[in-house]
Amino acid sequence: MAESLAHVLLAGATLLAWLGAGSLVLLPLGRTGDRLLDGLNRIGVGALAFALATFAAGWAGGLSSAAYRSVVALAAVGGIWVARLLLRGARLPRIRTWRPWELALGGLVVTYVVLGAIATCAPISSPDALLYHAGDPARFVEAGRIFEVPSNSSSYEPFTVQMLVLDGFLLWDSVQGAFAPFLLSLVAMAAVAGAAERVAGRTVALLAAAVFFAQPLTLWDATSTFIESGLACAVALAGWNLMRFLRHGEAASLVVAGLFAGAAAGMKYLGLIAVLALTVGAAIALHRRLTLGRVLAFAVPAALVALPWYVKNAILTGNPVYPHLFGGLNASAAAELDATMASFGEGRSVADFLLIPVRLLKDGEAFDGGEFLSPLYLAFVPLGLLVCGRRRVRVAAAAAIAVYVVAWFLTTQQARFLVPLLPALAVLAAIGIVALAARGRLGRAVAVGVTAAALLMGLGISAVYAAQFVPVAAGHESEEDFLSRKVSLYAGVDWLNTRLGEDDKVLLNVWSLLYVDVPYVTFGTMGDLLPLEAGPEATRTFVAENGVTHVAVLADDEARRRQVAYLDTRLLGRVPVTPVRSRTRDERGPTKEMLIYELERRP
Amino acid sequence: MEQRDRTPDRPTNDDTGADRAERTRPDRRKAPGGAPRAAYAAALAWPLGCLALYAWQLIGIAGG
Repeated sequence: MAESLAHVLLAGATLLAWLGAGSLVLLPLGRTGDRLLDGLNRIGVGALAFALATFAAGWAGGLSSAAYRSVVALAAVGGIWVARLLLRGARLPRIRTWRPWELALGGLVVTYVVLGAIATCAPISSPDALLYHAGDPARFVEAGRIFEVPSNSSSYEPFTVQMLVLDGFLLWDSVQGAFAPFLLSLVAMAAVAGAAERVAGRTVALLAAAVFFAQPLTLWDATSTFIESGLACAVALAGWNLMRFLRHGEAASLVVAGLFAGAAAGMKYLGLIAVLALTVGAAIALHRRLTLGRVLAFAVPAALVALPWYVKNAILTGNPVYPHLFGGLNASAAAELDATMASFGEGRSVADFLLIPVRLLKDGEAFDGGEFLSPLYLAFVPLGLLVCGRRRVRVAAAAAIAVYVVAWFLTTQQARFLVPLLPALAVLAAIGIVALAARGRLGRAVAVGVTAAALLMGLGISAVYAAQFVPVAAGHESEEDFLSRKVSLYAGVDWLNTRLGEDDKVLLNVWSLLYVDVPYVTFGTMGDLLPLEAGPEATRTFVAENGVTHVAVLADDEARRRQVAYLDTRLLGRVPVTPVRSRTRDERGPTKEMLIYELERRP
Repeated sequence: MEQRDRTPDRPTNDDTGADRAERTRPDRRKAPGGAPRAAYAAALAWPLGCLALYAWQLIGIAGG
């Protein structure tokens, strides 16, 4: 329990450090006059500055906990000073004047913040995070430098959020790293509420914050060391700054919007789609006010912030967006990547596109977590789009949403990849809810009834999800017991950690790499390094070149066992292991066997 | 005593009760807020449909 509280306190210090650093970076641009926007801009830009500094220090071989802690302490002190300045004379929300249902919405959002903090305090257990979102930063910290990870093609995605996760490792441990995406989700939620308040007042602001944040999808995404909450944060702040320019014409807002657009493109390739959608929307909304200078004020900072990731890929692989568009993977890995991306959703025809709303609502599991997406978006965004202001604004919003959804549909239809779009959709849904509630008793009954029911259903799901993490976060369950329940094949990883030493090197095929403490090399997540069809010669060469002493494969993995047979080995152990089908829903598969071989001749 | 407007060009108040009722009766083709009734019905039915589908999905998941 004390450890969890310490993680929360350090997360607060991290937020202050981002505020302090961002204030320094944005000093030349001055203030906007909107305190909340100023504060969030500084926090967001500060996080971006820390991420890029970590990226640079990592490639220079200068990752150091001591140095990082000193910088954070200094920046946090600056952040406290800036926070005092921002809060001095500020009009804080007068909660006593809120109506009961507004208090209920505020309470719901606070409840979700608590649920999120609890889930984040648990040891990291989502497969993607174990494989690379946290797995790679752990390896970088251990080595004191960042290096290429060719075994996993996803490690070539832009890694801004992973750099902040790495910062958490430098500050303390992996759990501290997991707080970075959670903090970004809080900033995103504040941006949604703030922007909505400026557009349509307190009622819409509270509703928008609840629609965005008080839903299982956001909670799951923000507490699983994923990237999309960071994308939502960058997109929400870019959007709010663009809106600020639309209303007040301040050129500095365009520069800051550009910084956040670049940040989105620097978090994940998906961010490029978000930036495209944002640019289309902004171009329509600002059509008559576009000049070359204004376009450059947005585009130059965006490019500068995003470019390091794409230049790095171009240098390492010759393909700035490796492994997409221009390829680069071996044939079987490329085929597996394509098949994986296409495996989500229920098809890619025009009819499939038109059926997306219905399918998301009634068969969300096909979209990997679509059942966690609140129905309020589909229920009220159409109405919100019809009534949300001047025609040009409505067209701009509709075009931006259409661009994003079509690109999402054509690439990979994972529900959480919609998260970057949700800040805008939440504001539109809130506007739609209020518009319907204002149209007669029946309209009010439907708006209130549907909203309340959806929020309650979401709270139920979220409570069940978060409850899984309470025992370990409160110190009533050991980390080992928790990991045994939540991490796929953990017994095998534990066996390797216990029986092998620093002089050994195991070749394996598991995703839970964050918890592998002994030297290892993988076949590649999709056979990137040693394809499934590799024959005796290629297998023996790979093993020799990598200094492999042991091999761990699942008994039912025929292709890998065939490759083991090419080697001169002896069977060391048979370990019963349990695959976790869904950590979110606590579903496990039938027990399997992990076979662990020792090579007869060491390299 | 009630003051009466005796302005010569004042329009006479000669409409019938039926005219008055017609003027003040709500337009049956319009919903609250002035929207067409069909659009209003759709705006009411769509969220309910979305919620029903979502609830149906959750029941299915809970039931295994």
